[in-house]
Amino acid sequence: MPDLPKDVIQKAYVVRGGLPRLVLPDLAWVGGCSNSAGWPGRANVKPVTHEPCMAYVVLGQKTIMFDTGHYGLWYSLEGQLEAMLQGRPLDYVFVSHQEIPHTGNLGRLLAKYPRAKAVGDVRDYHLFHPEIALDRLVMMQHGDRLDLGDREIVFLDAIWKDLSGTLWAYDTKRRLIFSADMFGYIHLADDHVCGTMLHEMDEALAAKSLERPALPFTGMRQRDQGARVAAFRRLMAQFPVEIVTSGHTAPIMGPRLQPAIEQLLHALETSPPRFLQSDAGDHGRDPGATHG
Amino acid sequence: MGDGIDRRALLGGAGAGAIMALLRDSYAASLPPAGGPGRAGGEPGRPPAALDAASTRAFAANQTVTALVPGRLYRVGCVVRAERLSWLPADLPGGFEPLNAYVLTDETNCVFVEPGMPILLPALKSAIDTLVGGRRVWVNFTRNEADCIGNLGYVLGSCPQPTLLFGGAGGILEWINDPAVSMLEVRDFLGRIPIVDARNDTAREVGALRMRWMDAGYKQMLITQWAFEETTGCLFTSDAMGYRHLAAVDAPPVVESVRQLPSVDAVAAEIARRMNWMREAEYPEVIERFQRIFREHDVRMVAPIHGCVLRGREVVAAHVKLVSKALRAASRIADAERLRYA
Ligand SMILES: [Zn+2]
Ligand SMILES: [Zn+2]
Repeated sequence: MPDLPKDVIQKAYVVRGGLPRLVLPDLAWVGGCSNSAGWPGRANVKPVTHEPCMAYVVLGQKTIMFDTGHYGLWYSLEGQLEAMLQGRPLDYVFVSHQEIPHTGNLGRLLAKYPRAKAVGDVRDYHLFHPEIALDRLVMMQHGDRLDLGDREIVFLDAIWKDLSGTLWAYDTKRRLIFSADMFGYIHLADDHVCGTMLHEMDEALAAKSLERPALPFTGMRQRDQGARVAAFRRLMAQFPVEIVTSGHTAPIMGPRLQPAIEQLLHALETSPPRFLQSDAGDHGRDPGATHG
Repeated sequence: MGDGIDRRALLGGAGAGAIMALLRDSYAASLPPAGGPGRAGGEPGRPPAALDAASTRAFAANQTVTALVPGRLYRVGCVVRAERLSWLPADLPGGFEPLNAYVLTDETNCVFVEPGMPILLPALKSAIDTLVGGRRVWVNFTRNEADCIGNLGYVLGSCPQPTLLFGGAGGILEWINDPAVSMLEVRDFLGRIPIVDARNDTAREVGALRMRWMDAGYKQMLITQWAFEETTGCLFTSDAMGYRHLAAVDAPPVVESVRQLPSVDAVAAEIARRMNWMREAEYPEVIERFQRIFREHDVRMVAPIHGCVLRGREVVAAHVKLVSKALRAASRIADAERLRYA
């Protein structure tokens, strides 16, 4: 997609990002960047902040999409999906939580792929997508497994959530975790890292990219993050992680994976975001928050 | 139209039209009332089921527009069975939950507060048909989630010349539900829909209506506002304070009595289910702020997006007391997901 003129980027949400990409033979990366600076009343805010709004498709013997992107992405996402699926059906859509940037396109996806089912903590979705037949909303709970033929998807209770009911998904073959709002990062338009993975960047740019985690979680300082980081380490002991994906990040893999995980966990333990009140958070929002 | 843009004419895109048709025609808009004649699969006396064997769609009944203050404030909503709802325990046997949107009106203005969940769109459509008329349309919402703004796009796309009362709650374009406004999809939404500031700790007169906005008393999502309308004394509390549910599908969705208050533990559990960060957390400043909001405003009505409306000073006071205790109790609820990886 060609870049839009700068004044348009300033004014509104745009979709940019050089996607889709077939990252591995069985992993497609789809979605795009939104302009986080494009809030009403903030039209002149500079520099333009990109909020990656990402989804992934695991191309196993059966196919599953992790999250669906927001409404504004659909017009780009639809073609991206077709390119990645190459005529294969979409069998499942994992819905991490009910937020519009994560699962807003569920209705459209299930209409486009009539045999696909949504899997996840599917409570509330019938209120937001009443057009979906209820038997296509399949409830999954912590520890439940979905067989894709050549691998399983394990559903895991998210340790950090924005909306309640958030689940993470784990691919047993690729040792890949899809962590919804955890491991999200924003970047600036001028960084030119849209659609680029950490291990494809030079050292300086990779370091800069990790400096802007998006942690849209409320009340982080009001509870003990050490206990939650410890829980996350136990999760990784049980489900070894070799690829991190989320709704707001490029795939993280290779030699930069472990340092990236450690950097984020360290930040959570030592300086969790302050967000509690909107007013207090307004300044802190740009570096940290996504759509919360 | 004044800005030279015919919004309806812009809906021409076939894809958008097809999706719109799907939205319009496909769901439980016209289900007969509970237990009524002609309900597929019904047995006499059996309550209607959300997962009715004969229906593949979600169940919603009583799509209504109800005057809370005649001529001034309306509840617009429906009732669903209290199951498959993330904020309620799995077992509210025989229970029902009101889902709410609201409209404030005076002679010349019509303010949609919380366009609400897509499942209540049939009620919202009748509100648009009956309340807008020649009035100027305003739209305000408390947070960027599908339960508050699921129908935002529909209102913006189908009402004449709407103005957004916007409190700084994130990027709007992502959130517009309705393919009817696909022409707003990206490029210049901001140029087409006038946006008027509704930031926290500011007030605005909209005709005879006196609106005031504030940071939510307690919340899960960072940017959640509460709105107060002075002439009705109504506080719009978003996803908070809807802890009264219905025992029957046709019971009134307005509580006016302090009898049969739910227990502190039950309310704490509901708070923790929505505000998941509160479990195992310490937040005396939140409780203090919550109480201060009610000290500083003469709240005669509480209007949440789900659960019953609370009407009357005495009822509001009783619930403020109850919620204060429940907020303290929510702190002591264990964080189940932390324990899952023990
Ligand atoms: Zn997110
Ligand atoms: Zn970008």
